[in-house]
Amino acid sequence: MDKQSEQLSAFIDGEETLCAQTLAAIAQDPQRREQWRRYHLARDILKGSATDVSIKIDVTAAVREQIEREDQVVVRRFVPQWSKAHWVTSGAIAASVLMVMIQFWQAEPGSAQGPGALAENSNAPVLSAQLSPQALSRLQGYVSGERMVPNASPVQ
Amino acid sequence: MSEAKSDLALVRRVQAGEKAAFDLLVNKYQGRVAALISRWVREPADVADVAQEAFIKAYRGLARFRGDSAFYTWLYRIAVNTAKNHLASKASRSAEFTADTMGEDGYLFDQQADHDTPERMLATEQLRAAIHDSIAKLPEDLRLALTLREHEGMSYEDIAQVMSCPIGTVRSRIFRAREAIDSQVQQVISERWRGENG
Repeated sequence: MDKQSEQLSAFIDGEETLCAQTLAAIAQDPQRREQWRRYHLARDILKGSATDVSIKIDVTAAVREQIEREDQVVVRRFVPQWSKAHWVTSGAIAASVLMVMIQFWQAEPGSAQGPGALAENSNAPVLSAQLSPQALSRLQGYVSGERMVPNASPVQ
Repeated sequence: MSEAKSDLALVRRVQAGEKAAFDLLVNKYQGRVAALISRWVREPADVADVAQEAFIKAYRGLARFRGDSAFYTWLYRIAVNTAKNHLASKASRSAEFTADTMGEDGYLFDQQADHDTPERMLATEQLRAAIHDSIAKLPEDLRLALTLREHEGMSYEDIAQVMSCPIGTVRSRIFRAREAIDSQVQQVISERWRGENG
């Protein structure tokens, strides 16, 4: 006796809970799907539900394919937006950090104005003093909006 | 468990991301949905397209389905609206539809869509006769178990009490009864489709 068919019969009656794996196996097996369909057809006929056995139709696979296709389109649309937002956010964070650092540096009493004086200024904040002039220039570029994307080639 | 509850269990699984559960709902209802759509739409290819569109709409809207009504009631409305929209769209592209084809509710009916044709009624009647014939030939214990389930809507536990047997026996009897009926259903359907193709 076919155990899976008996399971299917009990499942139709709501007397059996199928695990996801078994459910998927039934849905993917054309013979099982047909069996499931005929069981319900017989049930509909017995209960006098409106049905039409003269119509031969099977849109299961077509519906499934369309759902899969549309889901993939949704994913493709979503990824670039996320990616773009990611880079913009990264640039904005870098710019914000730089702004805070520059304001902190300029607010220091006796600080020199400009990146060239940084190395000579012993009172400069430790964090700023660790930046090389090239790095500082690059960071100022972020603030002025010349570069928003990290790791891009330096602006000449 | 009633059919509505059984459907709702499948719907909940779809809502949880199990697409295979939706495959079973499509498989279960596509015949009824196609029969419904064919009241408005004449061409078999169009019936299949509209049915497919209705199921896609249902899938997309399933996240909002709360289960206040039966799944089929909800699907029924989607299928009817999809069929009517299909006709309205077809009418806007074609001059063959006139005011004469307007239904009472203002929607268009396909001129040739004739729901209860003698052929269709005969096909359903043949199947009904075959099913009742196979039930009549079932051994008494199988027939009783199936009747209590299908006509009285009793649970396996209740049937077990009525028939004074274990639940497992009820389950087995109902399955064997279904298998006997199913062999008749298969025969009628395959003969019919063979006749159409040949």
